[in-house]
Amino acid sequence: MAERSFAKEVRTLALGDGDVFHGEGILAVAKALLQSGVSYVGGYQGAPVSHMMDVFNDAREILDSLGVHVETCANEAAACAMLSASINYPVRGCAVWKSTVGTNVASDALSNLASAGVTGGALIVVGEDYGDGASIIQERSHAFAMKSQVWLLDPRPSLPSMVRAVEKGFELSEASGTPVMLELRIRACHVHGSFATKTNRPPDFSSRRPLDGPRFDYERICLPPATYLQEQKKVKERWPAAVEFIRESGLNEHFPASGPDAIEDIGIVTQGGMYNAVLRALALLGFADSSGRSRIPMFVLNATYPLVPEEISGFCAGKRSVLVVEEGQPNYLEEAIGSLLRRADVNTNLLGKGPFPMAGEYTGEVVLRGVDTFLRDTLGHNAAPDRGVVGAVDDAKRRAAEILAAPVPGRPPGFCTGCPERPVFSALKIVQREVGEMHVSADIGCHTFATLPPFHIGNTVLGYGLGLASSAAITPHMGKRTVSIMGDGGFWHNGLTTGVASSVFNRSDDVLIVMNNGYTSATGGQAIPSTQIGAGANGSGGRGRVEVHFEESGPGASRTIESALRGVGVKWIRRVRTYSVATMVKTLRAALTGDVKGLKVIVADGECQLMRQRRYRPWFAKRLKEGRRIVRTRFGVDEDVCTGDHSCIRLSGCPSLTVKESSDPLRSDPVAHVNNDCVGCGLCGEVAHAAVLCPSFFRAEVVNNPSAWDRLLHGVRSRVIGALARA
Amino acid sequence: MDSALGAVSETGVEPGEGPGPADTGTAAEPPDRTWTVLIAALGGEGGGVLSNWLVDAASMDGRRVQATSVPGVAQRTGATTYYLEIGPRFDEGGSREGSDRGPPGTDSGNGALRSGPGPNPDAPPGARGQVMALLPTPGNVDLLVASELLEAGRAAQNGMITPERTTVIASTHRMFAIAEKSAMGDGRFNDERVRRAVSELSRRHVLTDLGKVAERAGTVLSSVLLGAIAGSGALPIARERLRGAIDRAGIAVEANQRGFDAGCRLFDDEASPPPDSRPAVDRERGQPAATSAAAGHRPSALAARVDALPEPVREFAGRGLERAVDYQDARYGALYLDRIEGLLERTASKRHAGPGSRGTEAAAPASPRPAAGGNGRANHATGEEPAAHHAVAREAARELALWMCFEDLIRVADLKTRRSRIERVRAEVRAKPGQPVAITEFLKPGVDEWCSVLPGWLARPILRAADRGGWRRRLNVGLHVRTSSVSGFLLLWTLARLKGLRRGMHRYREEQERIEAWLGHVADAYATSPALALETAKCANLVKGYGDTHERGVRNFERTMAAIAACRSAPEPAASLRALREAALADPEGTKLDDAIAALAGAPSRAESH
Repeated sequence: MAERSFAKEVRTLALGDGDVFHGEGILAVAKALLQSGVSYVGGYQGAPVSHMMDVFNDAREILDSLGVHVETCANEAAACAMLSASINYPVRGCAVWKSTVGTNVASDALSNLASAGVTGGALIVVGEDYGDGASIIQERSHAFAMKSQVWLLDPRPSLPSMVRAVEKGFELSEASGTPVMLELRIRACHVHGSFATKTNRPPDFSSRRPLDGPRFDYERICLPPATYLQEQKKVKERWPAAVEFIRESGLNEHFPASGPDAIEDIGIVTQGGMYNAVLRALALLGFADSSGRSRIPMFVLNATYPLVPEEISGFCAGKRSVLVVEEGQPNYLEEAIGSLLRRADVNTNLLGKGPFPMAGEYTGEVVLRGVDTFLRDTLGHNAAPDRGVVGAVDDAKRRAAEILAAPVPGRPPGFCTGCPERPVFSALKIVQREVGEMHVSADIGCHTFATLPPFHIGNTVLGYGLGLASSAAITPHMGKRTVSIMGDGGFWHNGLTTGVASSVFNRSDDVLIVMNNGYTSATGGQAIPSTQIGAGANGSGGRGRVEVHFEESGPGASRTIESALRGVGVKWIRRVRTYSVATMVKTLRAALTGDVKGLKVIVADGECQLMRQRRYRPWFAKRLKEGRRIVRTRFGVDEDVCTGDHSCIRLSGCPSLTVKESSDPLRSDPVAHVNNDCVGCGLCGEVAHAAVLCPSFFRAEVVNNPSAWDRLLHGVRSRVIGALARA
Repeated sequence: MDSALGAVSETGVEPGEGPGPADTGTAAEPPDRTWTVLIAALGGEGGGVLSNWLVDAASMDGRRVQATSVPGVAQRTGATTYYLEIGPRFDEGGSREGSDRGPPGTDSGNGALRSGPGPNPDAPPGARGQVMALLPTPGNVDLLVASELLEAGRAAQNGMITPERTTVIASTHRMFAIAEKSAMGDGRFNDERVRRAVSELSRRHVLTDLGKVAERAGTVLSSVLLGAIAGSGALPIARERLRGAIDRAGIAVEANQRGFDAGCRLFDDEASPPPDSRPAVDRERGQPAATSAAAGHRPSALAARVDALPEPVREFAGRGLERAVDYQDARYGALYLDRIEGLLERTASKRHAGPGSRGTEAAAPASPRPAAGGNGRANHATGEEPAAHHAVAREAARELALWMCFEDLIRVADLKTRRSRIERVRAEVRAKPGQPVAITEFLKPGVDEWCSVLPGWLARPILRAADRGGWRRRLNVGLHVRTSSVSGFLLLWTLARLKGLRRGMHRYREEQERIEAWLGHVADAYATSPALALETAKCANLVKGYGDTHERGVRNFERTMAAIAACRSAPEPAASLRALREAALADPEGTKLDDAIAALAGAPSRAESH
């Protein structure tokens, strides 16, 4: 059960010796785990690594045959805590999540795991959500590796390289008794490539081949005095072992300068993940070719923590200038390299942030300009790259800016067509007109898009499931109630305890809206504890491929969220169908202005429309084909009634509610228009009513395969209306 | 790519030339060449499908291919890009070594972490195969595919379209960004500028409404794009190989093949530009036909008066007359013409002071786009003077027609019960002839709306009481009227029949007073400058919408009219008034208008600056 089916991808997991895997980077990593004899995998969904958990959930058969245990964890802390199995036992395990947010959540478990150390290989695959397309705060996972002293791999972004990083990662973990993080950038996760596969290796120990029994080792307990010993072990045993392994196994790569005009006295040290971008920049500037021959020597750090001092000083020795290409900030690598060169008394001029910007994604253009600056600054006039390369980029951008005259409008993400969360914010906007502006604590999920145009609702975003908790000190300072938002995903991730339980315990007087969509929506429709598992469920406790459905009320509706709320002591709970804007407005008004003290929770019911359409469309098509009566609903705008003010759009932002040129030559403004993507959710009509907007909207119900009665009625009506109507 | 930059040679195609025969396009392939493709799309437009087809075709062609994307939250309406790199054939190109490690298409080289101890041996670089980038670099894009026009503009803005390399295939249809469509007036980005950027900055391009092409072929955009790629010859992959990807994917094969063929033809027809390569109107735009306000409704005596008007005013005045007669009756049409003739008379009789006083601004021709409404320099030669007051009258005639046909309950009921309207709705929801369609109207008339149809002596006390009691905004009756049923239709039909009583109604009186005041302002402004008069005329556009929206519009309009005096003493009166008008349309809260009025009050006056 996920946004898309992974049936085809599942087959690639079973490939053996001599086969070729074609597909996405993150799925290649999934395959590599099975080739490495992994015993268990735990994870929490989130771009760019959601697909790994999705494909594992669809691949029960293959995993069961190998005996690999997979869990969809409640959050990243749970996923990381699973790695505890590798502390005492020689089993290989993997945890996967989106970083840095997931690593933040997991960091308690991560610290304890890192301190205790591991026996079996423990690999943490983090999807580094940084730069263009990222959906989270911009930080680096690198800092976590340093503070907990776990090792960090950042392989070159090609499938064979990433697969080898998985295999070597387990070996490194076991050789040094330390968990290893494998960092994959967004594009590396989604890169489509290929690699030659090996047959999967059944794990040494698994549900099929259980361990002998529990093992107790006092040195693995995170309690003084063992913790003091563990810290000593980190620096005296594990670190040196890791450095030795990285050096011995040649994880990092030295590509010497090649060709007749090789330049030996400068060099580039790069993170593995940036290698392709650097090489492309060198090629464009005329210093390399596309097969990897470079006139400038390069040292590629596929392991970015810890560094191997002799490797770095060996590469830099005898070079006038070395460029460090390190994406993100602070520039830990550059600082570390500078420090170790000083200690080794290597007198090389070190450049990094300077030619390159301190912050932000290293896009093709940024890398091109950075490398160009470095070469220009270090090489003599004759040897420097042609100015025309970067000049051509400047020209193209300048000319485009001149012709376009204004920046092209951005496309911030927004709610999908017919999204059930949109009406909640329409209702909030309408209520604010009556009761005045209020502080709204937003949360992580699709509903965060409400902070963007056209709603601009949500004053703060503090983290996943933390919307309500973040209101705690705001309400007392406002003199009136605040509204907090939480998705069902965030609710189960930690919102129930961190937010709801804490709020009830502290007797706060707040309002919470829980968006009950039925699944996690933003990450791609994964099942959560309140998902209704219907017919076809395999009974594997929420995991695996299951048929789900969504019922807003009635006997089949999930009451899990309500029960949990009551269980922690919430008294005021209302369930409102999100599309009933008027009811939502009334309920919100009651919650905000009523006399009842304490936490008031509105469970806003509405199934994720993306998921609903996926089920509904085939069903609709089938009925249509069978010749059965079926009504298609959509909305429209009477363009001669619309005056072109677009208030409706500012209260909705639905992708299918757009504008078009008025066919009335007297009107200069475009008129509102509902395009054919409309799913007939009904919000347009509700908002027009609830906000007393305008009478332009109409609902049209088109009857397919009409019955005889339908046709008779239509005939009579058409005749009467036709006779009365003006032309 | 070539190591020497800029030495990228095409496969026998010179800039400006038609495409080479794509099926033989690989003949002169340089051994170390990488083709780069950037696909700019919106969520749900099939960018991913297109990318997969290209990957498949390139692999089957025996090439190494790499594709990446930043899907992010694209499905949730954002813009997204796919980026592909396609290498030379394994059996022809420079990375032959790569093929030793695996079957064609295997990512052999950019690959394996070197295993074994010790420093890296000098492995022959060729053994590493091609190193492909995951991100596009400006100036290094061979093929840009944009599934929507604005996204082509974004690519140009980012430097991804360059004359040396880039073939652009862009659909000209528009999916408006939220900032464009939520503007209170016309916030649409200027399409023409994007077209110009693409055509001036690209090596070759096809700019046409591919959505329409797809619709005509009964298929989806992505297959048309694949066909256009094949037709462009921008990639070294044979046309039939690209077509084969559709077969191999096995989904909606027939429809996609039709789309593919239609796409191919776009470049085949390049020599003689296809008729639809520069459509006059976008897909979103309708046909420039008269609306339901019945065309040709011009009583002959009144029609003669329209013909007597100056040529520039005639078009709008004619349409306006029809609108007014349709709205009320011939007498109302006469009133409309009276007002235009009156305005023309009052402005024609105004004489400006000598040169150098206030005549530095002149009326620019009326334009629907705000960007085009700039101030030209005036030519005060006597021959030019009449054109200025005609331009003012032309704009006023347009706004006056809209204003006089204000949308009260009766008008809305009238518009919603016309035969033409029922037909339009049926066409819009794509109902087949004879197919039953139920139409429901969402009406929520409140105190204002009901009072608007009462006589003034009755309405005024009610409104006062409503304001005092605080129920003016509260008391609304939500109606779901099913105009496809006889009873629902009759309800609105009857309401529409009340138009005979309109002249006695409260709203009618109010609007006529406002209209007269506005026309007075326009005429007065003309004494300052024709440009100021034109801006004053345009301010009528501030009053629109229903309910709260209408009330806010009236408030903004009245504040703006009150500020004309202050504009007059500003250095550029018309520009000042335009700034106010634009501020009033900048946000619904009126914050920008507050700021603009305050700034105007604090600005050095014209007299002081001398």
